[in-house]
Amino acid sequence: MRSKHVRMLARTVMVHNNDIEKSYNLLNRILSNEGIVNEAQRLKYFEKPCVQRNRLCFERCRRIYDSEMKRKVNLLSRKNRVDPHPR
Amino acid sequence: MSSLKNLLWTASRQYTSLLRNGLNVQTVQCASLCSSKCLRSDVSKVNVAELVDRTEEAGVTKSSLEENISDDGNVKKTKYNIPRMDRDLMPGGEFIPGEEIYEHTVDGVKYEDLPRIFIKATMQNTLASAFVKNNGIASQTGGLCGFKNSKKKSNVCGQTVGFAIGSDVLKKGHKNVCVVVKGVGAGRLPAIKGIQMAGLNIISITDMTYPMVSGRQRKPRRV
Repeated sequence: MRSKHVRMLARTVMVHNNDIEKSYNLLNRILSNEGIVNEAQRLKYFEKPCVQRNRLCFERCRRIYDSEMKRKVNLLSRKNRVDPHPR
Repeated sequence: MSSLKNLLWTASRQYTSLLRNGLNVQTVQCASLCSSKCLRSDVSKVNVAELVDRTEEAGVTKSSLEENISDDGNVKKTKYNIPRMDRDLMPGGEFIPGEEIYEHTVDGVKYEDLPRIFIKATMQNTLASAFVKNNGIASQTGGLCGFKNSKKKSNVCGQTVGFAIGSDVLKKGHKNVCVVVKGVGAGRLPAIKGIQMAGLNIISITDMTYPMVSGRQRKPRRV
């Protein structure tokens, strides 16, 4: 791949049959997953250091909570578990 | 000589550790022992018979090591093809382009040479400009389309700007177009829709918002 086009192709989405909304939604999903939309919103105004510290702390806690919750849900909803009441 | 023995011993240990983990011979070769640090010094002076003896102690098959070393005692360099990613398994599927895009042609025009419409959707305004091979064709803004003051930041303005630039490009004789969007404003999606309404075929949508700050931003608003 040519190096000068990598930046261009990194966030390119092809359109099939002039169906814009499908590919635009896909692009938006990619952007929100990578946190670019949030970052653009955040960099609008200056972020004070105390606010930044609080935000990072909050994000850290949230990540831990999410991963633990995901683990818990997976444990409960696992399918091939042993039958607890065998006859 | 003692240092060379040590080097050989580390090399054979690497091989055994890889093989014990249940890897195939091919994957072990892919680990490229030839380019590892321990074998980089004076490979040509290696005594092959000595090396094979060590491997028998460790329980490694002879053939896997002998493949890499030729009769002269030099280490062969073999090339391995990196397997291509399966298109269907990728997260975007067929929507995300790969290397093949450079061979892709639309109505006999290469993908690189297609006209590109750059849309800059800011909070206050929507700007659009069209280029073919880095030569400007047309440009439109909210002000040129007849919007004034705070109406420039509405999504109606974005749609008219998109329609205007679409019809400009169509007049120059281009039918297929790539769109590059920048910024998170109200006229982001409406501008793309306006281009389509003008009668152009959109082939790809690219996002180029790279939020970057030089210096210190403005003070946050007190609401």
